[in-house]
Amino acid sequence: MKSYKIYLAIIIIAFAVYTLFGGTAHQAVSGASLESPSLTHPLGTDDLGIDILAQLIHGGGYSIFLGIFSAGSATFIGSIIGIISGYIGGKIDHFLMAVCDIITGMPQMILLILLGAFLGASYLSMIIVLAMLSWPQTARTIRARVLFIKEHDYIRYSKQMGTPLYAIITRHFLPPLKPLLTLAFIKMMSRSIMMEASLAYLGLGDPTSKSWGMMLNKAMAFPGIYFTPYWKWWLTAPLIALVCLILSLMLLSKEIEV
Amino acid sequence: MSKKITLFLIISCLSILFIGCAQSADDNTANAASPENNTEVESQQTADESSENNASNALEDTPTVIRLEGSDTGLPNPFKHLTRGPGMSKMQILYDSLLEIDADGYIPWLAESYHIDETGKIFTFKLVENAKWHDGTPLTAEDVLFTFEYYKTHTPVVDNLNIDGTYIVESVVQSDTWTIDIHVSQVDNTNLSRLGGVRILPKHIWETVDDPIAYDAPDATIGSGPYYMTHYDPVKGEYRYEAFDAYWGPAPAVDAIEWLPVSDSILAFENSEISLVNVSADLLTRYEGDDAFVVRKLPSFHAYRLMMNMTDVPALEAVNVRQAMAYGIDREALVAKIARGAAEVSSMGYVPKTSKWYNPEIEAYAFDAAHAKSLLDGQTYHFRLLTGNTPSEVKLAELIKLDLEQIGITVAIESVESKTRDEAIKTGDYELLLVNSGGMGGDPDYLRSIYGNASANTAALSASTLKGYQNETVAELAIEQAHTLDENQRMTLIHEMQSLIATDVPMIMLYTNQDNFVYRASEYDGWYARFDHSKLDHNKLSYVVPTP
Amino acid sequence: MWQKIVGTLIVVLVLNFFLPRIMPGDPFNFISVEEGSVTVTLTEDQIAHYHAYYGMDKPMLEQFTTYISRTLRGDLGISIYYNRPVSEMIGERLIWTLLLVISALGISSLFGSALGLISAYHARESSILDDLLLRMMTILSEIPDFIIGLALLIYFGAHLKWFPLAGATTAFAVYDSAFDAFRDYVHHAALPCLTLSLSSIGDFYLLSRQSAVSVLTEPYILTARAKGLRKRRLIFHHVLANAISPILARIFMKMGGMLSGAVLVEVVFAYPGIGKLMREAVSMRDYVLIQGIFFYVAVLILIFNTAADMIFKKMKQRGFHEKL
Repeated sequence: MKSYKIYLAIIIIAFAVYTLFGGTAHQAVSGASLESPSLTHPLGTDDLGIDILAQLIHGGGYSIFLGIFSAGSATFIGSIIGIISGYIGGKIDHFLMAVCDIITGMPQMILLILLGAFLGASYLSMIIVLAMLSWPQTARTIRARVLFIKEHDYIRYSKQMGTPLYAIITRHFLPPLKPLLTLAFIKMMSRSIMMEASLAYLGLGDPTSKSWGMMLNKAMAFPGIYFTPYWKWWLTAPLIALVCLILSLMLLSKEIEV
Repeated sequence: MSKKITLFLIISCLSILFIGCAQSADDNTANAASPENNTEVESQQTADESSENNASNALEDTPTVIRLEGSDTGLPNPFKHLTRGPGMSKMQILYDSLLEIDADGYIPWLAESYHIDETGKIFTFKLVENAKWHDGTPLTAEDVLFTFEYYKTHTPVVDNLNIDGTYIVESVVQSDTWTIDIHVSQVDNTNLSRLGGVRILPKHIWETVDDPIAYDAPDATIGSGPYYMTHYDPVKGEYRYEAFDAYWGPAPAVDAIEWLPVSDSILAFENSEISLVNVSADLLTRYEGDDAFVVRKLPSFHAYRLMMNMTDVPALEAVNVRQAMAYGIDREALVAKIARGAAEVSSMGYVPKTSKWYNPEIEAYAFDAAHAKSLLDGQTYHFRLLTGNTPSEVKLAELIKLDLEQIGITVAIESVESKTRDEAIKTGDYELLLVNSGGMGGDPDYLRSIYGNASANTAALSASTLKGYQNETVAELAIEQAHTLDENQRMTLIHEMQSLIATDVPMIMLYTNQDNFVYRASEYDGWYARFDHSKLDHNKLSYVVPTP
Repeated sequence: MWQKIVGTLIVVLVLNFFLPRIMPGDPFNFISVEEGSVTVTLTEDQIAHYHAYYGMDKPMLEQFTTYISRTLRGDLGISIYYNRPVSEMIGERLIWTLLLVISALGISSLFGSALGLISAYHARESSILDDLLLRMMTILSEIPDFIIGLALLIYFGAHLKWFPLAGATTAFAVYDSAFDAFRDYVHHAALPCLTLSLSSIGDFYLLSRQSAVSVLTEPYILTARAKGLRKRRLIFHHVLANAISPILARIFMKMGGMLSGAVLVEVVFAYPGIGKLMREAVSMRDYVLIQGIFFYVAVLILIFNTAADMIFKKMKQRGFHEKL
């Protein structure tokens, strides 16, 4: 097993175990403020006296699941639209692709700031915003692929034999699209995680969450953090964890791509 | 295998980076002792140049410049400065008022003396005779008369002359070139401070201006203050003021004041790019032992408060629930954890503990979870808590949530942008709400506007925003104190109000932040603290030579 | 193509008007203060007065039609919070953002494609150089730009003090010569520009490497090599000629994205660009300013994307593969 897979597995398992056993240490005050790393607090505590390791474990799950949900919904919307657009063609295709063009033609980051401020920063609205802005890419790639598959003879036969549209899609389109969808999913996941971190950095994330982006934001917002020793564990831990997560996802997508 | 190498590479890169950071922090410590670097030299040169232009200033041998952290706060005149940040104080340095504020109260300024007649409705101001506008035109009572008429139809950003939509000045009569009588419509303890704080406008400039919000000609910043503006760059947030040699009053203390943008104020202070900094409690230890620095700790006139919607949430109408929450929140712990000790638990009677009007006898609501529980009598509640999205607001909400859970009140935190939260205060769309707000400096008449169903004018939070609070006795006292001119008598009334408010707990006062100003005495030590304002750099008297 | 342009413009105008206005919050309602700051609280009378002054007391539809007709005439209005003409404010800041974005794109496309070619040149021999470059570039292109920016700021700005920490020019600078001014601009833009370059260099590297590798494996190249043509010559003549159009198209495409993506980097370095202004405008609910920025940036992106589209079209006519 590759190291990055182990890393991803650790994040998920740690989160699952932590949550299953009803861990609340990520939001409970369990020590003095800004303790240095010790046996009871392996990564020290933050300014409220909350254990940083617990936050890291909880936040990892938060970040990954945020990625999974938003990438999942974006892939779902994107693939449906891509298939419809590619398979049916004509005016519908034209219209759907125009919508795609318009969304990709918008200033994404600025729209993200605007929507972030407008919808608020709850978990759900975060997922909606991220999914809304990233489905068109998937839709485009899927459409191109569908256009290619459509030309195969077996599709034409099943169409002539009167197979319903739903069956054609699930039987003939989805299997060959699967690798493409997985790839799109993973890429979008890493993009969503990154965007959440960026929004959190701008102060527009969900401040009550313990996502890694938010942990970074809180640590950096601590006045004069670089003049104190606290950044060594408070800032570094989520930073390294986040960068490693993004790179692990990248390696994973590379492996699928090949 | 190779992927392992990649991960290893990244981690080692990151660690190298952070070792770098650690050194950088240490480096700065070393630097604090000997602030020598390029920036210092550069700005010194700028100062030299300015003194050449301004050679007549013979106040001090070496030209002096005060440099402060800056950002765009608008064109500094009474109509165009921004509402947030130091926009108002930048404007006030350029524009004089009839009275100024010092450490104890109001002092004569443009008006060298004033007199209030026995009805309390006619204010006579006698102006200094040598005051000049920055363009050299003499300032006379005609300008003052014009100012009070102009503000009636053109509201400035800081509007002190309207109470409930009525302009308090009935008429203005000029008796000679330097004397003016102002007739007000009602007797009120705040009248003197309202009239005295008005920024006087030059008649010869504004009499032709119909839309002051759109007016931005070069003469739009001509005032009569000790400094005049020579440079303003809104994009970068740079301002430069130079000493006004023909100033009538106390001499400008330095040759120039400059505001410039910095990315991190503490770094900039350590590099001597700015002269004054407001630091967090954790950094105080860096400066406190060192003789090169002066540390001034001043309680701000803002307080975090937990507001409760007593109109829409039946449970919050019960005074025992509100009291239980007041006892159940460990406010000392909030101060220790969130303000890192640099704050003070606020008085439940609203009036700050540093004010001479503060009543120390009222219930202190020391943390007592057991008592809180007994007040709730086994009942449990659930509330939504609306808060802003700055880190301290969110942390505050989290700690309050944990505290209240201990006494049987569960809380769901909802965090929104500060504008959204401010809107909720107005519309009442909240159950519990956390906000840091001001309006606690100066005359205790603010109690009237918050608790006494009166005007929304003096304070940041108005009566209509304390949703559902009604106490007839408090309201009566509020009106009575406003018209009581005898100070001792008024003191009794204000004390009584505080004790009633503390018992009712219409909102839970949490804590008041403290400002920790640090500066180098060798650079400039004229910083002055006003009785009603904690920001040293906002006070006009910080920039003039004190008169003995 | 026209359809797309008009469609985008309509969506921008509609979103632009309604999105900020249905956001909760009033630009004149100042109740809370930030820590260490102060605020002037406006009274109800004043708020009503300002609403009337900015025409915000009129029905939504009427405001919308005024907005459309004004925008079409090129009048973006006066900022509510800053009291200054919006097009003037945007103009002043857009220069800085464009300066950053264009120089970053110049640097990253130049170095990125050069490195890509070098990498491709060695690719077939499974060299360490190619391997290392590929890995480094892929990592760089994945790390969020604000993290790169923070790292650079802390190390080169705060630790080594090689570069200023904030701003676009030295405050109150009086320049002796144009060269001095230029040096000051470069000194300030260096770190933010480097950040943007680093985060986009990987893209150009991968693009040029991929196109070079694919060209180098074409049958006619293999023949040419068999005939004894030198590999270096090949790279310059065939590969470069083939890669220039896709790189150009990519520059235009990236330009749009970077214009709005520069927000984060501008915030890190307190650079007075358009992104920082947008962040402030949103938190102040300055409707007019939000609309102005959104409109400007959207139109610019539209122009850049159209340029990229046109290059692609040309390439297709000349028979390039679309995957490039």
